[in-house]
Amino acid sequence: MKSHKSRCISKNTTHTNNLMKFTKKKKKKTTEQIIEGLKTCLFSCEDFPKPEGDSLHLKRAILINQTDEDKKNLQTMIKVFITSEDLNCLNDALQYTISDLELPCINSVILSYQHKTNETQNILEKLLFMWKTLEDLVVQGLITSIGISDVDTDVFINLYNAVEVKPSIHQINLSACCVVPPDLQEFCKEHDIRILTHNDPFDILPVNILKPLFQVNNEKNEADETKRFSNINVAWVTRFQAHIKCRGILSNKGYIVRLNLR
Amino acid sequence: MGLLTEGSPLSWEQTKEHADHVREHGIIQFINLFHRLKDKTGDILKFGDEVEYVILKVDHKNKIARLSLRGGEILKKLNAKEQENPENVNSLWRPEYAAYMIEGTPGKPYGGLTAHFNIVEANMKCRREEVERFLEKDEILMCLTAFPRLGCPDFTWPICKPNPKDGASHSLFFPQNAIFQDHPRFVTLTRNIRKRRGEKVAINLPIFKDKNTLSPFTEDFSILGDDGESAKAALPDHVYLDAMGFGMGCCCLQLTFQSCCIEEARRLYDQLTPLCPIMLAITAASPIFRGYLTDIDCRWSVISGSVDCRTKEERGIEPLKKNKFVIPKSRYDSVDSYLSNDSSKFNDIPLIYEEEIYQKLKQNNIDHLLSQHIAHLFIRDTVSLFSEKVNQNDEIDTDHFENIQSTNWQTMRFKPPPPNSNIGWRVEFRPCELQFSDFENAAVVCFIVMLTRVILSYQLDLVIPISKVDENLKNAQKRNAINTEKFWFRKYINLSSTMCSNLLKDPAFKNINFTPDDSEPVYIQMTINEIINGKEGEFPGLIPLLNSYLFSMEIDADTHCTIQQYLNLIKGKASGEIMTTASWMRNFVRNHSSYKFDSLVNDEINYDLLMKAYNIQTGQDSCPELLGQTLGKFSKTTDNIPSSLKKAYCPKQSC
Repeated sequence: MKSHKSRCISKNTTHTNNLMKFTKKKKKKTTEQIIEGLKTCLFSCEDFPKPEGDSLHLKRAILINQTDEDKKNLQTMIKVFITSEDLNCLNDALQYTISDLELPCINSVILSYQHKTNETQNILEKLLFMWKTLEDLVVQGLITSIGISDVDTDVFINLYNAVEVKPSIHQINLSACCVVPPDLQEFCKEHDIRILTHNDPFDILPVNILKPLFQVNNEKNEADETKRFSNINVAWVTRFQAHIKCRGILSNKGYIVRLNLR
Repeated sequence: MGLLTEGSPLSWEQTKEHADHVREHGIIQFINLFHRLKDKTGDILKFGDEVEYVILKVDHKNKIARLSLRGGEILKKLNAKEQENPENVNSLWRPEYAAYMIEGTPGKPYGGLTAHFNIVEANMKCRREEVERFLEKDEILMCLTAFPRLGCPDFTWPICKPNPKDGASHSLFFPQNAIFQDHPRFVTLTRNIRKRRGEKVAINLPIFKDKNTLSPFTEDFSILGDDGESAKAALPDHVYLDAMGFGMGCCCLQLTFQSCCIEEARRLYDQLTPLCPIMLAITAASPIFRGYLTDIDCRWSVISGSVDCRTKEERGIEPLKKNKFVIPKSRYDSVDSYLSNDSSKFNDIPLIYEEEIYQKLKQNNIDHLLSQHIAHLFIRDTVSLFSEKVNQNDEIDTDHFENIQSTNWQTMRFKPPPPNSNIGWRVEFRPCELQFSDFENAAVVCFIVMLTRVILSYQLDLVIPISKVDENLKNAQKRNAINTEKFWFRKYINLSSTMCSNLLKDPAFKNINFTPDDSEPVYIQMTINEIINGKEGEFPGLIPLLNSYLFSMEIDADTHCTIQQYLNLIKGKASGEIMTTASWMRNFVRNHSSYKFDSLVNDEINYDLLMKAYNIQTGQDSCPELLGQTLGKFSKTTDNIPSSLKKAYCPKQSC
């Protein structure tokens, strides 16, 4: 976690975008974008990003359409994709991304907890556990509002009722945007909660897609490096995006990925 | 249809005498307003649509649909509500050219949140309901670009006869009383345009040659009281029209949006210019004129011809003696020049203007591109002047500028902030034809406004030579252009932007090269399907670009649901899966049991066509061949933006 400087930002940066998807075939756009971003990052950097300790941070981002005036009018959002309920991990993801964006305050943060499918029973418990981290950041003034993605209506309502800093965003998959369950809709309306859409796959960066990337790249690198990357896995992924308030202009979007090299 | 000034109109002879006076002071007024407002910045996105409606009177027993001339009467009732409470109405109502028309706009412009795309359709619906309260028995309100039997005998209710000898237009077909009478502007314009031109306007539309159509197709106008002028002007195998009402009596869909500053407005004016022909072809909705199927699908050339006030000299038919210029286009036509520096290299058609006026603007520190644009607009004479408005304070008033500006009816309009308002620099998008339903019209409006956001976000460059835009506009009006024509369009859309090249690394646009070799032209010919939906390895497509943008924005579920329906509609039209309104109408006529394949649309066909269209508009008929698969009554469009979104995205209530 001391690797804040080990980012790789190539000079020729990429604007990675998602495509709304209507078919199964296209379901992996977000993943593809991250992979494309990683590839560009890995192959176009003058120096291969040096891992620090056991971790490697990779960032793909662009800054567009930002005048100083615009900076005052940005609406910012971070979505954090996480598979472990380890609080350090969540905290690392958010602290890292927030400081990287160099903004005093992020408008919203959405938690996407990518639990294993057989875990559904304890999901509320785990979310409540992780929620504390988000609440702390709100109390510290780093985040204005917090939300959660892809949870069942009852989990969402129970979470809402149990926590101190209430979720104000419920993010659902785009494919469900025309069929939001009425009870969820009603609850959200009553409590001023935004139901927003996303287009992200459940597993945002599958290891089987990630690994080959490093094998190819490592042909260029020393043998002991290759060894280091043989056990790579994803600690977290964050996506940040910003638009200019009340003008509908997209201003910034990108991903940060932290990989564990253990 | 432009500035409405209260007062008494001058005669044509008096108006003509003041032509130079209006020009001179109009230019001074523009110079003053420009320097007063050029630095206005920081305006948020606001936009509004203008929908023109027609009122029909339907005789169900005899299967006849006519145009009801009660527009003025209904307008009075609608305006009463606005006068009582101008700040708090859902819609605003204004007169339009014909007595059977009214124009409705939202009470306040929509704002810059993505959620505003979800209230456009609901507002249109609400507008319609407001008018419907004042309709009489057997009257219905419709969105109809061109009434199919416009100008046929007895097409109005009450029935009026044309006045070929003494009316403002001298038309054999279009009665004086079908022109809106409660404001003198419309009759005055009609008379002055005819007088300036020196003869009746003459529009000839190629007839749709069906298997039993007369060949050559000709008509005898003497029985209608023609003194020979019409017989001379009408071309064989064409449907001949002779009045301003045939064009200005058409309805269309326009939208205006506010930019953050003058530069952004100039840029969007340029960027949307190449989209005008494309949107015209997609929204094509007027294949029938004066009861005949024609070989065109759009109103544009009709309305252009209907206000063509150029003299024979100006049209190049006679040598220049009294007039200053030969002018290639009507005052209602496509734009002639781009306004921003980046686009200026594509200004490739000669721009006519008076050197003296251009120099005056330049000397007053207005840049070359804007000076030539304004000077070019000011080659036109005023065609409507009111005695009370002749003498003005050029420091404050802008009426003379507006007089000329608002009678240059072009595909795009660049609009300075109005005096005494907090409104910013605006751009108006004017080519689109009206669709039957609020759903379709809202889809068109939202599509264009969203595209402006994509253009600004990704810094796209869609500009091609103006001459190619003109060529496109001609082709866009042809029968079934959407599926058969190819259009010049920019293939490399990121030349001036580093940002855009990054966009292309998006896997969605894999293998698309966005930067050309030096030798290659930046634009090519594409089908509408390729322009809208993309072509693998060649062009990303406007909808995939839009999707890419949308997915990077914070959008609430209901709005996203609505937007998806809109994009599916545009996508389907472009790919040919869904018919254009024009194709659907043509198809309806040709499949009607009383159609004799002679191009003639009789009263019964007209009635059945309009009743079917009405049922589509009300949602009673789902009509997937025209609308695609829609949510119908399950649509998520809503009157108000949810408070959670307002709180999160515009806490200061500014939008």
